[in-house]
Amino acid sequence: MSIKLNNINKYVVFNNEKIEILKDINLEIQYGEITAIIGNSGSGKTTLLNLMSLIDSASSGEYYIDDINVSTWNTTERSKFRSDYSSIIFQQYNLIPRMTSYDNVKIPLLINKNVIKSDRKSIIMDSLQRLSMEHRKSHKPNTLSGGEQQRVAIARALVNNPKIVFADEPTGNVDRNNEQIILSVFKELAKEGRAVIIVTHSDYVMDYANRVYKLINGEIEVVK
Amino acid sequence: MNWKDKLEYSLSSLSAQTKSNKNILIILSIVIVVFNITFSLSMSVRDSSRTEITENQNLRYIEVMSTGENISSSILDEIRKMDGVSTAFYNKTLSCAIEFSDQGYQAFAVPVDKKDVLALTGKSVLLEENQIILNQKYLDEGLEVGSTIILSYNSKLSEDYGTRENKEMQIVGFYEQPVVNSWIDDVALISQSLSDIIQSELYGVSISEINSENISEDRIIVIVEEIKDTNTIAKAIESNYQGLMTSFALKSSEGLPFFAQAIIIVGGIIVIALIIMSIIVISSTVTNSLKNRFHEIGIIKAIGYQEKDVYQLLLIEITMIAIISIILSLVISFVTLQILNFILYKQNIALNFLKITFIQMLLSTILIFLAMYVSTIKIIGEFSKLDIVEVLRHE
Repeated sequence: MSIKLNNINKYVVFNNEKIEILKDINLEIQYGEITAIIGNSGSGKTTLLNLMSLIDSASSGEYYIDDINVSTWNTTERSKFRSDYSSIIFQQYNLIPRMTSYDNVKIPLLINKNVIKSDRKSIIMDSLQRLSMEHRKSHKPNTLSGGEQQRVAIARALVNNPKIVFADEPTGNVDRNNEQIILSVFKELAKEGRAVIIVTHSDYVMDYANRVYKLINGEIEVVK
Repeated sequence: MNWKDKLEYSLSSLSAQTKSNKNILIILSIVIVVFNITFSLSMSVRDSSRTEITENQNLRYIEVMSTGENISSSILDEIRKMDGVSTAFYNKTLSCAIEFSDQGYQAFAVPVDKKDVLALTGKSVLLEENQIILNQKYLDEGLEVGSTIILSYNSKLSEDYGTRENKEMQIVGFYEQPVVNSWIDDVALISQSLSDIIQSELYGVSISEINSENISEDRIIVIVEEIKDTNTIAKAIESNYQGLMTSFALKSSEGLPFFAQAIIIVGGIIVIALIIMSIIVISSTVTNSLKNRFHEIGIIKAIGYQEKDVYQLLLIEITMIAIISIILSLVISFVTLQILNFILYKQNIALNFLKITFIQMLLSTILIFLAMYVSTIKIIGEFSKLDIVEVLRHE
């Protein structure tokens, strides 16, 4: 059981010019590990993460999750994958400003048919507790620090018990203390058998990762 | 995602979009208040005209007058046979007095046949010589069917000398005297044979002489079957018979239904213009409001919400705004109409009470849903299909 990318290519056409973003990406990611993808700005890291989280689709190549070819999935199947099997954490936290921490964490549960309504509260509180944010459950994002907002965003990402966690620069906007809290949570997640895939610039994150890949001009290299 | 969660989510979105929602509520309320004022006013004018005119059975009467020779019995027969004419009879008003219990009233007696009685009273009665039908106002004087009165009329004894004849009459019915311009006083209905007797005594000639004369009068009364046909039949008589002119009470009020129609047309145009304007305003307000929520839509789609989830959430929000608009606009309409009623009352304008009917509430609801959905369905469809990558790229 693994996540495999075979000859994945991604290009966009801009002003009648074909711009290649990812070139022949071949990659295998194991569950129970933290995988870091590094690279300079514009190297295609976020595009690769978007492809793997099924937010975006490749121009060519095949993408397998647990030996299932997901590159042919339609938008509904992709949405179900994102809601039931994986989750994504953004660098900009992407919390909904009008909602409290509690309500933000609740959003994924609203579309999860496997969780009964009476269990929601305890699941949300467990998730907030895991990130030490239960005391901020009634706070709206504008009353939280950047690090706290990211911890709420991670609590939201974990609330549906995902098998794969995608994180785009999760510690890019947080201080060292929050970075440590977040990375220790990621380490726990990997220990629990989940796949944690992080796009990062941070050397500190790379130290935590079991495997590190580097993207250079859309091509991938194994670093660790 | 169950409906309760969707409602909860949409409610929280609504409370965060107060400014744009307020604009939508204002424009929709204006449309519905104008619609209800127009509708209520036109219905009030229509109902008033219906009560006073189109359903007023007293206006089924046309008085036909000759400007030259008398109207012959053959013309009378032709008019009786016209389409829409219930009956027609000579307006032969014989001066008389009605006396009972030491009281006497100046009146006229008009001879009628069975068909005329039916048209005038709704009852099929062939009047005998000693029978009479009185104006229903005599009911207030204590008279009733079966009572007797004295019919008093002039009798000529010689060229310069006459006397008063009294005839005991039995009342066989009462009727609502129609609005006929020449029937100013009470008009009692009597039989043709009694009319001949009164005439023969008045002119001092025998009844056979009265009957042998070519019967004609210069006026006839025409009773039409349907009030709406009064005008048409009057015009037909005038055009078919030269020298005949008509007079009927409906003539002075026939413009009222047109007035009601004019209100409906003008009000309808204003309401349609307002609806079009509201669709444009709502469409632009909702677009701007959703543009501010680009990010939120991108986030929830990245989390795993499907297009149909997003579409339904936005649709619920639109529906909630529509429902709030319905309640608000109906309350404002009700208050406005009460104020208008007060003004009309103070100005002594005789219109029926302005009110909001069930049909109006239904139409207001349909109009609001129509305006909301027409102006937003396409927009929310486009927003629910937003590309997540594009949205997140514009963070």
